[in-house]
Amino acid sequence: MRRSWYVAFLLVPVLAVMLFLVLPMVVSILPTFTRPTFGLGNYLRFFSDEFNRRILYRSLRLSLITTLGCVVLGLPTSYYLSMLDERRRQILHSVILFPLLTNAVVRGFAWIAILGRNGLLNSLLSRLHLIQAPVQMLYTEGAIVVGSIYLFLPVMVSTLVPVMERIGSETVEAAETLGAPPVATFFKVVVPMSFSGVLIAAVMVFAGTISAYTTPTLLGGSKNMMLATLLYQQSDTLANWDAASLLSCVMILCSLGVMKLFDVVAARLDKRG
Amino acid sequence: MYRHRLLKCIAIVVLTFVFIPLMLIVLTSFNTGNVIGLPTDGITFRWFGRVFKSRSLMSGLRLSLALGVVAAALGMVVGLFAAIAMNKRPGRLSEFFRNLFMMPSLIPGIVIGYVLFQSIVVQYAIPLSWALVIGHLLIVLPYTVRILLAGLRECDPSIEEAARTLGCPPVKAFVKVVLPDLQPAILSAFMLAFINSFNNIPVSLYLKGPGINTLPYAMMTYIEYNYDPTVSALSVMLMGLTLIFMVLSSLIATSGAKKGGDK
Repeated sequence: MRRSWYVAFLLVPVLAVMLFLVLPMVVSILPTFTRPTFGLGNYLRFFSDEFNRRILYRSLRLSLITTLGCVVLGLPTSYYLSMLDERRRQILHSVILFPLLTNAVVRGFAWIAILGRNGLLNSLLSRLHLIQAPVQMLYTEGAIVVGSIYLFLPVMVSTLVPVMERIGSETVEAAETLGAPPVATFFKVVVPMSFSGVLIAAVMVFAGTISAYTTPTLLGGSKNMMLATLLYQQSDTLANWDAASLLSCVMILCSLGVMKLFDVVAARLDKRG
Repeated sequence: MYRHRLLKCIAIVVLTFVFIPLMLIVLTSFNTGNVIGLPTDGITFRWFGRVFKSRSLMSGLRLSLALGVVAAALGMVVGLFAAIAMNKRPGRLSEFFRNLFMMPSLIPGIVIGYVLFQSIVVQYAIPLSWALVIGHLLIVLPYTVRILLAGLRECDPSIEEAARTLGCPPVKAFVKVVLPDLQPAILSAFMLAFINSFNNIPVSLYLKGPGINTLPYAMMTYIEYNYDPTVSALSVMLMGLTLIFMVLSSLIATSGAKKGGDK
């Protein structure tokens, strides 16, 4: 392929990404380091406010809890799926995949219906006489975590099933023939062998949760804001562009930073192995 | 496969957790009462009729469908040319471009929405409908480029070379030899691009205006002010759409596998 054709074929997408994403990002974010003075002053000032700091901590904390929840629930499930025969595995895999392709508003709405004040869970509990008055479940941090785990568990499982398949039943059978009980096999063979896959999936879940807008808006309400909801509030409602640009940079650092961290850990693991 | 009872229990709990919420939504869409609840006395289909009567939801649906098709088609064409170029001249530069095209899927959606709004609407003053198309093109680009590039890499280059050696001009060789092999990749790239555009919220959140609201945003606004099963009914319809897509893509996958088996 001649060079001129190469340029022509790539011109439109490169221009689109450069003009509408890279350049605007630089134009928005660069001033947060230079105006009014050069340095991190804006950032220190922004996070000296306790309200903002609490939102940052909440975002990090809830994303971490969500990631751990997805690992704890997703690891055994994907191992189980990988042991099934082809037909069953495909059916259950599509059950997992289905929510992944469904709109996040629909998925958040499902949890509003379940956790709401007059929701399905509250009416079930009161019919069983377990509670006298409706319990506040919606618009809490717990609701955000449940909704986020629900949102990202399919990502975790569908990433891990191929990893589990690669381990292969021979290795597991070898461990069991040599007398390892199932629990020991799981923790001493399956978990270590799938570790790098788990790490990739965990990074995806963490970055996804900390960037999510829909779920914290629908399930957290205005009291439990996360970084994305704060960014939207600052830019759309308050037209506070400085704060919004600053938050953009923080969010990029949070999600890309964790990916970078993963690269470092993965490189170190490679050397060790 | 014996003695894995604990594992099976966890898996069943997880699968239930994944499956139940959407099933509950399906049930609530048939509720006879005016609130979101399980249909205890009889079922009704009137909420489905309500969806078609709601002006905001219907205009959102029309916009999202149109936007999804336009963005996916545009992303396909742009992505196909880019993938061909990167496939023909592999190397550092192509790798750099590939990473560049992946950027929209790595940067938080709300940040993309915000900087797009700042640049397209505030600085460049591009009309909103064009801004939406550009924004959604950015969203679908990572998917089309990745799938098409993977598809092209799987094609055997020697067949195209054979056609060229036998005197076939380059464009004709591509259309007659490579394109048929690429068909499953093109179809699945289109579908994934459409789904991602159709479901996107953060970018559309900033690029909205009077009469220009995508369906997810219209739904969020509706939920904010109403608590009736209309959204349940609409959700069921969207789930139906998802189901159709899943069946189609599995059909494409199996027909692709069969073709591969013939060789």
